[in-house]
Amino acid sequence: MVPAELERQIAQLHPASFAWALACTGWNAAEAEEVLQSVYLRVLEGSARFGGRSSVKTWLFSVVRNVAVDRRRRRWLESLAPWGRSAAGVRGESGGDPAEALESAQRAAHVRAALARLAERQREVLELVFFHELTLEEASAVMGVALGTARAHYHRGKLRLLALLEPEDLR
Amino acid sequence: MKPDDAEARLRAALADAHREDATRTPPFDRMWRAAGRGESGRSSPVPWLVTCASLAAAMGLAAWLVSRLGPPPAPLPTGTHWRGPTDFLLETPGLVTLRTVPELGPSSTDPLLRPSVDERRGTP
Repeated sequence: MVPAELERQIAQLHPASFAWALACTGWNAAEAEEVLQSVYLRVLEGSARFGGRSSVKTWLFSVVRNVAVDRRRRRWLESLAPWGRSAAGVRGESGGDPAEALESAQRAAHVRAALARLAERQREVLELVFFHELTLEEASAVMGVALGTARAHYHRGKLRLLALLEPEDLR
Repeated sequence: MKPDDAEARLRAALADAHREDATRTPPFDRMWRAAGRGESGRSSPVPWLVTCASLAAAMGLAAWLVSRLGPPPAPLPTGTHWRGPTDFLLETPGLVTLRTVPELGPSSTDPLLRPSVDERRGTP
């Protein structure tokens, strides 16, 4: 049984959790929803328990990341099987849509494409710091790495993303 | 570009990347209730069961085939033991003498072994 207060906080964090799940799944909405569903199930079952050692957001984000990584690994194994789904089906939405006419949508697609070219850890730390407003220490806790490692990924990722983005992508 | 400026621009770029998230976010209540019913969105275990069953069947078939093959074939003769089909032509009468050490009988010049006169006459 999840305490009402924890449930309330998880509900409050739901949009941010979904955004984080999207980032962890290459902007695949269906996959992100499945990840988040699995996360909630783990919370309700008690296999993912909030220990109070960090903020609820840090704990929930780390569970989302672990579930996403676990599912990605499983999908990769399934893709090796004869009936395996192709990787394109899993990450089909990560690229930009050429039909999109709106400038903002194009910019979003460019940024997502540039993010997709970063190393996974660099992408994660930039997402957590710049979009989810976590500190580097909290981001390192979510990623399960040392603070120094997270800082190195942060600096390298920042430089690389700036180099990858077009001037018009950076308003 | 100043560092703060760059960070602000990256922040804006990431906000752009997540611009459509709000429209795609499923309602919390629906997902929480589904999780409460035990729906996880996990992939079906059937493919894994089929994989395991296929592997077990393949291993069983391989074991059965190996058991049917019988004892392993005798090792092929090496070059040093090979005998040509026409080697018998080289078997000359003198070759036997050359291959073995001849056994010598008692010496006819040894006086101790020389037969006596009686023995030569055949009388006891």
